[in-house]
Amino acid sequence: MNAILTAANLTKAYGSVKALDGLTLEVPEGGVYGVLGPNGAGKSTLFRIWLGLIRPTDGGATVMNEPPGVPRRIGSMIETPRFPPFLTARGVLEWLSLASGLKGDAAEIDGLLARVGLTEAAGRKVRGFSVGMHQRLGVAAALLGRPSMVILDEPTSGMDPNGINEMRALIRSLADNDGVSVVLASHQLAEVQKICDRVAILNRGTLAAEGSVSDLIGGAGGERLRLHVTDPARIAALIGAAAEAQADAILVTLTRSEAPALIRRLAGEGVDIFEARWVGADLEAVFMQETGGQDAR
Amino acid sequence: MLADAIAAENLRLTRNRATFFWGFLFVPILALCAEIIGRVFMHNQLPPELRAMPVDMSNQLVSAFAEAGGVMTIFLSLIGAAVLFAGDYRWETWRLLTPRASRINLFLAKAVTFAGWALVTVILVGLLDAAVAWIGALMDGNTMTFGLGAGAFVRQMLAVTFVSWIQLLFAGGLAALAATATRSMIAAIMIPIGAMIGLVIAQNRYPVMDAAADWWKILLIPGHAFEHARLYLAGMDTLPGQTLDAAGGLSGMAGIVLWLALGFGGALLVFKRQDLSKE
Repeated sequence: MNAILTAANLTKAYGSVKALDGLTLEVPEGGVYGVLGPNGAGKSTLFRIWLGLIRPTDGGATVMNEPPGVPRRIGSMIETPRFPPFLTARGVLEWLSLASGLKGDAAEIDGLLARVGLTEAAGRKVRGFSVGMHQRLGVAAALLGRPSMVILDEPTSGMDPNGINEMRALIRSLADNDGVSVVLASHQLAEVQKICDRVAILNRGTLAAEGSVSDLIGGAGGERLRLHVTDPARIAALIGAAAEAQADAILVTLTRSEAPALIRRLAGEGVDIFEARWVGADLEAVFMQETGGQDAR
Repeated sequence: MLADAIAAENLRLTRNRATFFWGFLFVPILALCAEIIGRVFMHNQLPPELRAMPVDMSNQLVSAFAEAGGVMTIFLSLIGAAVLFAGDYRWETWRLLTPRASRINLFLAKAVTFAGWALVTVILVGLLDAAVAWIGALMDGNTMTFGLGAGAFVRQMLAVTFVSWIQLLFAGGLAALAATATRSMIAAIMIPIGAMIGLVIAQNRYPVMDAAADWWKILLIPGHAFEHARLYLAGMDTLPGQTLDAAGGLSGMAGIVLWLALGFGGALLVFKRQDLSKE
């Protein structure tokens, strides 16, 4: 496996808080690689280290076999991108193209604006753009200069459903048709499952799980019932080995026909059940299992 | 590539019309208006015999370019400098630029862009100022003379233009340092203003009596450095009351280098290792 991005025992501390805590990870070349994790898991910090925006406190990282911070043709979009508000969409790409040493090629810029669906807004100043339009322009900026790798942090954040579908198709097309390695962070687990080939799940700055999407889902077992309850540890102990306590819920392995009896039993014992739902064998189940049921953002 | 980064900075600056106007074009317009008002006032107030005195155009030009680096020019150029050096923090655009281009080139592009437009400002202020003096002299029917010889005129013009430009660069350097250290556009304007007020107070508190003995004052206080460098470079020993002072001139030049290094060099050092987790 040829790794385009690596992290070796990577640590980044902000005072006493460790955003990354000895993370070791290798991202293979090609395809779409997803980085998942709840809030504060260290996804954005990891991306910023790879892009040379910040330095690690300890450990090492490489980007295309070189240390981070060496200028190269990497496309990137970190969080919702912002641009000088007085520039038009085309002006933003001209400016970034020049700054990247690409001479502001008009044909490339028009092509990128068309690819992200901003042709009609090309002459409009970005100060009037919606969040979704900023996202689209950010992706176009990331693709300037035909990079061999793009790093996208929440690429569909703020987009409407149509925009999300278009962006998914674009990301998949970049990997499949243009041979671009795409590394993305997203909290849309269904989206990641649809477009990523491999994923890494981060939790509290460490690697909780890594592998191909199909392997991870396969390893998560079958359907489980997720019950949102107070005091999950006590309720899990009450049920026994079939139950696993999470932060604010329990996951119970059982068949669908056994579920009503369990719910009746718990209700009879005075347990407050706020929500009951089946968690399928999907990335969400893997995520819940690996992060203890924290919010995916 | 530095040339590409400079082109990118210029593209962005010239499309930011409000900043471009207030930072670099307003001062020449203001200077033009002030000169016209001054001329009209003089025309109305001076008795005809004084109005008819000959005008030395060489002196007018040298004075115009020497005054082009004045307080108003410096203060307004701080607007341009603040937007140039703090803009990428405000718009959170460093994250778009730094993965693609070297931090040194990105910073140098800003410094070169500022230096270029500062020079344009100085030349426009000087030319417009001198043009109004020339038109006024024509309207008043003054005899126009050219008192300086060609060599002395060229030398003085180059010297005063250079020092006026350096005065703007000095302010730009302070703005660059303040912008980079604080990541704030307001601080990039207010800190240099505060520093310059302090330095003017220091200049008055510590006058230079003997350039050789007071070399450290010239070195450390930019107002003295500019003045002594200007006199030395212009060879103004030919003017009454001025003496060519090599010690003062060299201390002045060293002071200029010191202050530019402090501003731009300091800003570059900070930026080169700066954590851009949040611009």
